[in-house]
Formats: sequence, structure tokens, C-alpha cells
Amino acid sequence: MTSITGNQVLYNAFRGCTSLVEVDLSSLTTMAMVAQNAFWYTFQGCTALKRVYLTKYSSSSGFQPWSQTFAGCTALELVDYSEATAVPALTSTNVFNNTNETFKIVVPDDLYSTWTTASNWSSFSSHIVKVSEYTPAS
Amino acid sequence: MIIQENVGNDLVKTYSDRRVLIKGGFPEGYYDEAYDPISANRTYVETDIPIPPEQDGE
Repeated sequence: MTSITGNQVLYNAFRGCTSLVEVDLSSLTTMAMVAQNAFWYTFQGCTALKRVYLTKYSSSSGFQPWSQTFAGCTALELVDYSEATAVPALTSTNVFNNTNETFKIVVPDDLYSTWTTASNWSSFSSHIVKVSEYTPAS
Repeated sequence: MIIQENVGNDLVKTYSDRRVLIKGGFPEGYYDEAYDPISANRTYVETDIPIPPEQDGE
């Protein structure tokens, strides 16, 4: 599968999947956000989820976290945006409510400065790391 | 009305007192509320879109 387009895309898609450890969405080349609730609660309550590899986000397509997308992911270690070519809007700060305090958001080196000062991402700047400097948790 | 508050760590919080989404920021988009570096001087306008109610976690 390389494309997802629809009104609700990943709305509630993995919500409450407490055995889910890793999700790789990096092969999705098209992920259109048609409706504003496309990524609401996508991983909410996935208490075992550690790593999420996201799409090649561009200004026209990609995974755009919104209302509580990762809320309650208490084991979260990595949100990988390393293939992004633009910074997605982080519409809500509740996206990362009640997550692991040490999780990392990995971004391309050339977008690091832009990412850490973008709206709402700036309040998570301590979690954002350049892909060249990221060391996976052992 | 758009409200802006300094919240420390050189960040300013922007939100609507009508509980509607605000539009603007960087990247330009819709936001429930927005935290920005004070030095960025970002601006927002209110929309007529209500902020969605939060649901409880699992």
C-alpha cells in the first residue's frame, strides 16, 4: 500500500491497540488530509508503542498529527520524520499528552532549526533531534 | 478575541477566548492554541471553527 486518501484517513486507526510496538508508514507516498479529523486519536492509548516511522511529509501530503494523536503512548521512544521535506503544522499541543518524557522526534538536519521554532513544535524542542545525531535507545 | 500570554522559556501562547480554531503561525495552518518563540512575532486570526472536544484516553 502506497497511498491513503479519504475523509478520515487514520482517524482512530490504532487507538487502544495496547500490544502495538512499532508502526512503519514510511512507504506511504501519498497521505492526503482531506478532513480536519484525519489523524485524530490515531495512536491514542497505545501503551506499548515505541517507534513510529512516518511518511515522507511534504507541504501537500503527509502525516499531520492533531487532536491527541499520540496521547497516552507511555512507552513512546521515537517519532521518525527523517524523510520529511517540510514541517507539518502541529495543530494541538495535546498530541503528545501523557507520553514518555524522553521520546524523540527525529527530523532532517536541514529542517532542524525551522522545526524547533515552528508553531507548537517549539514547545517540544527538547524532544527534537537531527537524524544525524539520533542514537536509538538500547 | 485573540489572547496572547507569555508562558516562560521565551514562548508566547496564542488562543481564542471563543474556543475556536485560530489560523496563522508557521507553517500557516489551523491551531487549537499555538506556542511560538516570542521573537518570531507570529500572528493569528480567529476562525468560526469550534475546537473539537477532547476524548478520554484509553
